[in-house]
Formats: sequence, structure tokens, C-alpha cells
Amino acid sequence: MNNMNSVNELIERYIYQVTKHLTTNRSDIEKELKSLITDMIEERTMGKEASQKDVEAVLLELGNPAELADGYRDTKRHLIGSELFPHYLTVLKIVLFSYLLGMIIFTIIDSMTSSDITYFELIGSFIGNIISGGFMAFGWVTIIFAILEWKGVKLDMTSEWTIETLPPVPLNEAVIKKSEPISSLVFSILFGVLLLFSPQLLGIYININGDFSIIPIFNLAELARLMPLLLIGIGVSIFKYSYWLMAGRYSIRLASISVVCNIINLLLLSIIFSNNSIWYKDFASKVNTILESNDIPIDAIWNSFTKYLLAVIAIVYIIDSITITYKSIKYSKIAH
Amino acid sequence: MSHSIIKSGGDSMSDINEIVSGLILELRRGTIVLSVLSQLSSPMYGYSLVQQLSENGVPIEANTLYPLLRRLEKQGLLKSEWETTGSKPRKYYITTDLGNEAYNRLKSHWYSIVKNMHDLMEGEDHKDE
Repeated sequence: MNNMNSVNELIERYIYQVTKHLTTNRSDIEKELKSLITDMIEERTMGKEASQKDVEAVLLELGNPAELADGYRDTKRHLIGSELFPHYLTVLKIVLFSYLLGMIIFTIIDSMTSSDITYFELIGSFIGNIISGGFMAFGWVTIIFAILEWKGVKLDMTSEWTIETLPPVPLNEAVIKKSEPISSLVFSILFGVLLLFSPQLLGIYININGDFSIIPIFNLAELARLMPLLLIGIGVSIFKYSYWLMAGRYSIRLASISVVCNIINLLLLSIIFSNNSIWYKDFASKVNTILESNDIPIDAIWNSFTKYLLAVIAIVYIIDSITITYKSIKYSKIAH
Repeated sequence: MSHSIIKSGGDSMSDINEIVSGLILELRRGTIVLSVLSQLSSPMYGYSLVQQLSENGVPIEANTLYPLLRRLEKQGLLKSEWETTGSKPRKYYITTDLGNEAYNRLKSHWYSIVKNMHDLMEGEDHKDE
């Protein structure tokens, strides 16, 4: 009786190990496996009572429960498939490199602006930031790509190719040099990291007798309030330049995506710069104090600055959109 | 700098054995579904199928067959029913109409593969089919 119990327990343990991570038909599979295992044992013992050894032999024949479970599973068991993996690696490298670069820059600025920090502390916080932020960046890139994989998004130009859609070898002018999107990506990520972690460093750096001090440009409370919009904008830029990087050539589709991204960012920026509250309110007076001069009407310039800035940004985006559209139409015409 | 290293092919006996057994496995993998469908015009439970295939010289491991039966059922080629009147409950599988149709088509493909491969390997005249 005791033997029967231990035999049954062994079978239960095996079956549990197979089915514990299965999500569908679990009880049915359990039942069927139980029937299979008892059949196999019966054949082995020719109807006699099974010993522990018989059960072990049968279970060994059935093999690793994890492999058996794999057979029953029909869903994907990878986070990022082979199609997305090269893109994943590219983006990961760019993001980690940008983050490292950003941290080096901030640490240097930090060491210049704060005098009461020792090199030891500086290096310590640098390493700490590299590790924690590095993992965070790694995590986010991985999560985004896992979602893309889960949704079945294809990053390649055409999902189903035909002879007609096989792109011609691009003319030299139609190729987008990798350096352009990569540098834009690095800049976007750097700016994003800066905004998120050290927005107080965005300012004018003044060197008085070897001591650096910063006059902040932004109103930090207001900046924190607008942070979601800023991050969406940076996300849109990252998406746009990632697409450039992967497409690698001008095309109508690239132009459309770029123009849409530009419009979104322009809208976001017009909300962000809709009034002067985004700026540090004592900026003009502090600059005046430091310059010790009332010749330059900094107050007046500052007050209308927002309007001009927005106009300049709009012009830049419009020129950018027109250029991309022009190039894309030109090169895709030549291609056909 | 040019890469001038030429890898020498696996020339030891264990290498060739390993390669060939891998290739045999690959060759047999494609025939598993056909062998399963061929036996299930009348209902059978998994282990009786394992035994029957093994007796016919086409052994399939239970841990391959059981998940496969479920996959084929999901595709609609097989249907199943629990039989609880016997000494213990068993799940019987049988081909559906769809499964029969698939089996017949696969079978005729199989015969033409066999014929063509035979002609190919014995160097007879090729016939376009």
C-alpha cells in the first residue's frame, strides 16, 4: 500500500511539472498523461504491481517534463523574435551609448558647479547612476520591443514582398546616412535624460573668478507639470529617427511619417510655449545683475522671446518637412 | 586582410554519425503527421497508436505524439472523445472529414515524392509531373 502511494505520488509530481505552466486544456492533458503513464507502466510490468523502479524507468522514457510541456504549448516562447532582434540590438546600443555619454557630461558639469563634492563621491554616484540608469534604459527598450513582438509589428518596409515592391538599389542621394538619424537619436535621448533627471542643469553657465554658477532657464515646477508632453515629444522624435535608421532611404512613407511626427511635435511645443510661465521668472533680472548693465533691454527681449522662439521652431519644422517631402518625391520618381 | 582559413570538413567518424543522425531525424520529422493520419481512420488512443506505429517500424516517442495529437485536433484534422467504460478512462482520436481529405492529398504527394526521389537517385530519365 505504501509502495502504491509513493508510485502515485511520483506520477503526480511528474504530471504537475508538465502542466503547471500550461494555460489551456490543463485538466484534460493531466488526465490523458495519467492514462498514458499507467498504460506504459502496465506494459512494462505485464500486469504485476509496479515498483518504484518501473515508474522511474517510464518517466525517464517520457523525458524532461519541461520539453513535454513545450510540445503542448503553441504560443510563442520568446520575448523578441529573430525578425526584430537586429533592430532591438541597434536601438539598445544607441540608447545605452547615449545614456553613458549623458552621464559623463552631467558628471563633468556637476563636478564643476558644485565645489563641496569630492572626486570619490563623484565617481561613486557616477557608477551608481550608470548601473541603475543603464538597467532602466535596458528595461524600457526591452519592454517596448517585447510589446512590438507581442503585437506582431513588422518594422521592415513591406510585410509581403512582390517583385514590384522590391525596392531598387537606392541612388546615392536617396540613401539616408546612418550618422544623421543616430546623432539625432543620441541628442533626443540625451535631452530626455537631462529633462527627467537634472533639469536644473539647463541654464546659463557663468564663470566668476573660476567659480561656475548656473542661472536656470526653466521654471522647474512648470517643467515638471509639462513633463508628460515633453516626454511624448521626445518619444515621437525617437520614433521618427528610429524609423529613418531602419528605412535607410527616402520614401513617400518616410516623408509622411516624418511630417506627421513634425506636426505632433510642433503642436506639443506650441502648448508648452503657449505662455511665459515655462521660463524661470527671475531669469532676466539675474542676467541683468550679473552683467551689471542696463544698456541692453534684456527684460523686453525676454518678454517677447517666447513668441519669437515659437516662430523659429515652426519655421524649422516647416522647412524640415518640405525638405523631406521634396527629397522623397524626387528620389522615388527617379526610382521608378 | 583576407581570410584564408579554410575549414576542413568533419572527417572523423563520430562527426559523420552525428550529422547523419541529425539529417535522418529531419527526414523523419516530415513523415510523422502522415503516419499518424494513416492509422486513425478508426478510433485509437494515444498509447495504442504508439505501439502500433512501433510494431510497423515507424516508432514515435509518446512525448512527441501526445502533443501532436492535440495540435492536429486543434487544426480540425482529428476529433477526440473520452472513453470511460473500460478499465480506465482513455482518450480516443479519429480523423475528421477534413483530416481524411488532408490525408488523401498528403498520401498522393508522398507517392510522387517517393517516385521522383527514386528516379532522381537512380539516375533515370526525369519525367515532368
